[in-house]
Amino acid sequence: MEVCLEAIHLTKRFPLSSRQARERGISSRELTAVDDVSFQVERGEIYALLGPNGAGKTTCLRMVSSLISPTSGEIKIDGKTLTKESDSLRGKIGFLTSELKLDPFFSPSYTFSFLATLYGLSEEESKRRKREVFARFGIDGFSETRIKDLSTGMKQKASLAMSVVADPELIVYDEPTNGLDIVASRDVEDFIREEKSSGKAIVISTHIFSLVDKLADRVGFLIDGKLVLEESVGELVARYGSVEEAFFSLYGGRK
Amino acid sequence: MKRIWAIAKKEFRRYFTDPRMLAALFLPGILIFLIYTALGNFVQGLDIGSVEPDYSYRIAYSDNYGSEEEPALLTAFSSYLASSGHTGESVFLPYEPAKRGEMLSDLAEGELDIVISFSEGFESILEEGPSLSPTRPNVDIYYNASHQASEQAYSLLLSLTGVYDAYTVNASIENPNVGGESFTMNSLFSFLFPMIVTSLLFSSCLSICPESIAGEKERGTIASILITPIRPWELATGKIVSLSVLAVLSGTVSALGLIASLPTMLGGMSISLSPISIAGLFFAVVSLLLMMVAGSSLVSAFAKTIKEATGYLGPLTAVLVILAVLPMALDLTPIWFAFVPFLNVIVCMSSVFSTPVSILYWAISIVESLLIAGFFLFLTVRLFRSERAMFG
Repeated sequence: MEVCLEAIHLTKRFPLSSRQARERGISSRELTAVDDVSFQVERGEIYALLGPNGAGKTTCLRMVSSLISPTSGEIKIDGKTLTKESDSLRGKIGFLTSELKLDPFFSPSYTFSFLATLYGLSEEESKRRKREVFARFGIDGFSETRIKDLSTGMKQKASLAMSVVADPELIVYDEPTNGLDIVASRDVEDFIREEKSSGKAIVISTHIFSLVDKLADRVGFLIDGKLVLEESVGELVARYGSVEEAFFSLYGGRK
Repeated sequence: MKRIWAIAKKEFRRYFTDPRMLAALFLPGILIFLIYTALGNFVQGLDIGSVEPDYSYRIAYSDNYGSEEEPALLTAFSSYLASSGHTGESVFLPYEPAKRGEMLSDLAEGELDIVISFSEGFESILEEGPSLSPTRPNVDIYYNASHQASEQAYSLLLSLTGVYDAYTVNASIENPNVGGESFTMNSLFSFLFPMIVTSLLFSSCLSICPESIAGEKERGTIASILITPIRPWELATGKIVSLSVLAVLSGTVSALGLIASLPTMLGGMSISLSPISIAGLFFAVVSLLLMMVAGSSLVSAFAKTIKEATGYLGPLTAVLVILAVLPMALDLTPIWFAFVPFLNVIVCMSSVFSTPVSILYWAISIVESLLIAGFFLFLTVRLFRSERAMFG
């Protein structure tokens, strides 16, 4: 299959104040959040980054989605370097994270049109895309309601819709089912599967093993900023019995 | 350009569809109107700026003016008072020029309201034609600024002399005021205007900028925007352009509030602002506003939350208000004060109602304020590019 995303030797260091360094009990004034991580994702594949809190999953996804730049290493999308062509490549990325919120004062309809303008869609394209996406997520019933007045499930649907405004080729979801009830979670899972079957490359980060079992083709285990193991779900199950067992044998061993 | 406009439109939509935000925009103007109107009523209640209609002005004039009849200036004074509904009969007391010292003592003690000293043969020279005389006739008009009636009469006499250019006024004296400094409407305005305008406009910036920039960071909505192909400078420009428009709008509402409150504030007193003064005030207010918006945007882009941004900006309100009243206590009119940011614009605004400052002073103040606003904008764009500032 065709490679869509290549993360090559990604490293991200954050500067620390002396107080932050003291609090973390380290002498260095830098925190290495991601340390020499490489992976690639093909079209029609779901790649899961699995790891405990603070392992560097979100930082990794933020770099992949161009929200922050790597300290070293590079990211390629369809063979083009993200840091060099971020303006054109950003239109190919759909990113969803719990930190990335929609303005509560606007409706999903207005927000979609606003983001479509930022992605450079024409008015016609924007309207057509809005019709498609809103119909897919069943948003039409509350498209003119302010986001602050929506339920958590509705908000998540709206967020998913906004993540695919420009019909991205690479979908990056950070903890996509976090805080959702079982019905809303199921909706998200269905959507990710649909996007996979339409040939999108998908990267998700999660610490929910069942989600990885159900969705992922391959898994990368990220611990303390390092990618300690990368295998297909089938290989992991064959070797460790389950993805969860694989994680704890790696993580427990490090502890 | 489409993206800049999209950001600006979003800000306008945010402010014009949210009652809380609308209140933040328009409340300062309404408050200015209410405060100034209330203050005007209070000041009139204190009898600052008005003299009882049956008051009898006592005016002494030197009897060397060159005619047996009452001086034309005083006749005009009486006629004006009568036509404006003043019922008190004015008393005109001729004195020998040698007794001018005594008259001035009486004026200082409040026994007299005005002492007029005509140059020798004043009236005869005017009748014959001033061109025949080697020197132009002159009238010196002394008053006591500590007494409202004296000050009122002085203003009226000056306005009456203003219609002639055949003679000079106060050419032989440096200071016509024999009393202390007065608390006039002008002096009231010279410190009230900068103080109230500064505090209310800054309050307006305080409610607009942190909400729009730090608020987006706090709510996590800025990341939703930065993830799109928009460039940081497009985002910063869209924000700052819209916030400046909103702040100018807020400033205009404040100015309208001020204008609407003027009739009550002024009462019977006359403060006339020339078109040049009004234009000067406009430029001073706009440059001050742009500096405030850009500065507040910079602080808001640096802060992680609205609370942090208002925490930095809040105490500045008190500092700015203190600076705004400095022209009342200190002489800040020397030209080098024109290079002191913020204070220079305050002095310009104050000068419209008190001691005028030069055109050069105005120009330096306004250009410097605009340059500072531009520098703040540049730094704000830099912060929008910074991962650390945008995402902590």
